[in-house]
Amino acid sequence: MFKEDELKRIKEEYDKWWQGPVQKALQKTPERLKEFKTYSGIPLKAIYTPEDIKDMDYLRDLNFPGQYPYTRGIYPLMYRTRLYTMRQYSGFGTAEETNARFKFLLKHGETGLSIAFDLPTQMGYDPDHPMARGEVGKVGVSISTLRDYQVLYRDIPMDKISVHIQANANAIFMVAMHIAEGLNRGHQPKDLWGACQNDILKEFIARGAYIYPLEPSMRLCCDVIEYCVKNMPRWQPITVCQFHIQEAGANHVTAWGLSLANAIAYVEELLKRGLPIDSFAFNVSVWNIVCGPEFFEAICAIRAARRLWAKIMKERFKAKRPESMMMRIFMGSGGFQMTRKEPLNNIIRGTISALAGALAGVQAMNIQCYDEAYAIPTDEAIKLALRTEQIVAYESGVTNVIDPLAGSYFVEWLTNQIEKELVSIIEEIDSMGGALEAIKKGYMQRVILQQAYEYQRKIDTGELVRVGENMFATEEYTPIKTFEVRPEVERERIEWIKQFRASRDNKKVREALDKLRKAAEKPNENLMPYVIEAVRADCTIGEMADTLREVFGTAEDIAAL
Amino acid sequence: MGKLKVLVAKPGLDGHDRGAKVVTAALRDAGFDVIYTGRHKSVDEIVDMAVKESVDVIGLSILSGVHLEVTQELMNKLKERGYMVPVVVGGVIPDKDIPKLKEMGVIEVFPVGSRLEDIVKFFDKLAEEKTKKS
Repeated sequence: MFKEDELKRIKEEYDKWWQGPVQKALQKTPERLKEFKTYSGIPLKAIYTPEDIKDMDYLRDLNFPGQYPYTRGIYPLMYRTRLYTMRQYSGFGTAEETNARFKFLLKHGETGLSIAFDLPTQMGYDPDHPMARGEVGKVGVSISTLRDYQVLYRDIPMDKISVHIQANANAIFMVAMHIAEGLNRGHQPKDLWGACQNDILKEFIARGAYIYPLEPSMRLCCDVIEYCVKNMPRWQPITVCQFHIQEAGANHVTAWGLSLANAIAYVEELLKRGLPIDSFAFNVSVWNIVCGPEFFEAICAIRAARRLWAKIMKERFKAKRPESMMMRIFMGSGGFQMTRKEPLNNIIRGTISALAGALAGVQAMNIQCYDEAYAIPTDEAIKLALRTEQIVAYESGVTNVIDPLAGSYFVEWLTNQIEKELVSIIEEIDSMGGALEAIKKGYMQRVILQQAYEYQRKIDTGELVRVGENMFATEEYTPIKTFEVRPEVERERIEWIKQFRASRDNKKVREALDKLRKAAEKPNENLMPYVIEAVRADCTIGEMADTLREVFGTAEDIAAL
Repeated sequence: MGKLKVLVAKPGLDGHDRGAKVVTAALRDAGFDVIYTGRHKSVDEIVDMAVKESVDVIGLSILSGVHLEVTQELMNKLKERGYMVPVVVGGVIPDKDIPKLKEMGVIEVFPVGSRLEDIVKFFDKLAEEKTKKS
């Protein structure tokens, strides 16, 4: 990019500047901090120059949007043709209540849905199971049957509005319900538009919502992926999560690295099943990330990960189709950076995150709400989060030019630096025999815990600043309105599920569960069609999950403490 | 032998264990014996573990909004078993629920945003009180 003699001159002038005016300024006033680092600990210089990116080759390293290696974005015109999808994670109480919230958000301009399920639904328990006590409808919607799912989707077109089903251990049940409800409405699976999370590996290392041991969990996850890539071209059957790994404590770059290692494990598993790389790579190249807390680090990590994933697909997995190499990104602003003290400050944190995501070219956004540290959001809080996405999209002007930060010496240097760190994390995991082995050994869990602990120490000492919490904090307290799920929800749901079980065709239920059990006992049978059949026979989530528990057993916490 | 034997417990279905594990690590570094239950434990399992290990204090970590139900159940079962040790609660706890938890007998609540230093100090104070008593 730069001529050698020009670089030499810049270097000479830089040295002069550093020895002269910089030293003079430092004598007068020392720097604010002893050392400047990114959130993930990458040391930062005061300034970056052509010298720092002297080996950069524009066409090789950046190229144009929609061109390999996709550093600048995956589509030729990015937001000039279509803005990022705005989908706020939502769900609580009953299917009726959540359906009403979906409509509330769509009315205010939301362009996609993201479903939050309560913990019993996520963990495969019906509302009347003892483990579900107190949890029904609390952190998401309670869904046990296809009947519930119909209500959840009432008046919402399944082929026109895309959905992100945030289900993991229960993904097979929820996707089956989506397919079954589609069929009820006359949509073939190929018409359904959306995605599910289905990233079970990160449940073991970060989020904790696993049901079955690691291997059968991996089988279920890949059964969903395999079924969807064969039957549902508009469906992304997995979203690889950087998000929860960071939320569990890993720094931003480590979380990216571990999520890439997990993604490689999924790809290898699908290849083992005999699927050609180009038949599924596009559908699995979807990420859910925290876009923050630091502005430049988040932007550069996205650019670095996009480029690295393209290279991994092309060089490691020998993908040929350009689409196989395109990483698509669904960002959140992160719950962990949302403080309890002075919660309105969180609106600003969300805005910075949204701006970073827009500058980095993400495909979809979810901004965490300002009341995150208190409860699930009020209507007002979730609408404000949506408004943040809309103001960045329509008012800030940053969506008009693609990858506008490219070419900045700092941005390109940091992008390169992060890519190198990601490569070394992946190599480390590879050397242990891949992500599954690293998880079994507790390696990923230990890294996350160590970084979480380090983070908390930095917050305690003030090395990491949270304005209003550990800097400029006062004892002043302004209460905010918080959301509460109706206390009757649990009782209503328990009564409902009991009546439902009494009123359906229980012979059909038993037959469907029996077929599911027999299929589960055969290691090479894809369970998706059996689950779809069970859902259509009115089996409940708890019954299907229990049937599989009988075959697979349950998971132990690999806490690695 | 540590200053106190602490059981850090993760009741129910909520898997968010960052707080539980970080507090476990911090208390261990501060010289406490800490047992972490791992995720997804029922209240019965937690009480069993507390009794079996003769812990001096129980810390519950709850982020899914079920702190009132779960804590009440734990307090009842501890009473039934005649194993009355101090209980501390941490997690996503709305302010208005803090007095309710204390009414149930919880000795302290550490909502998200609490400093590790303050948590450790609190446990140090508990240890001191225990030494004085014995």
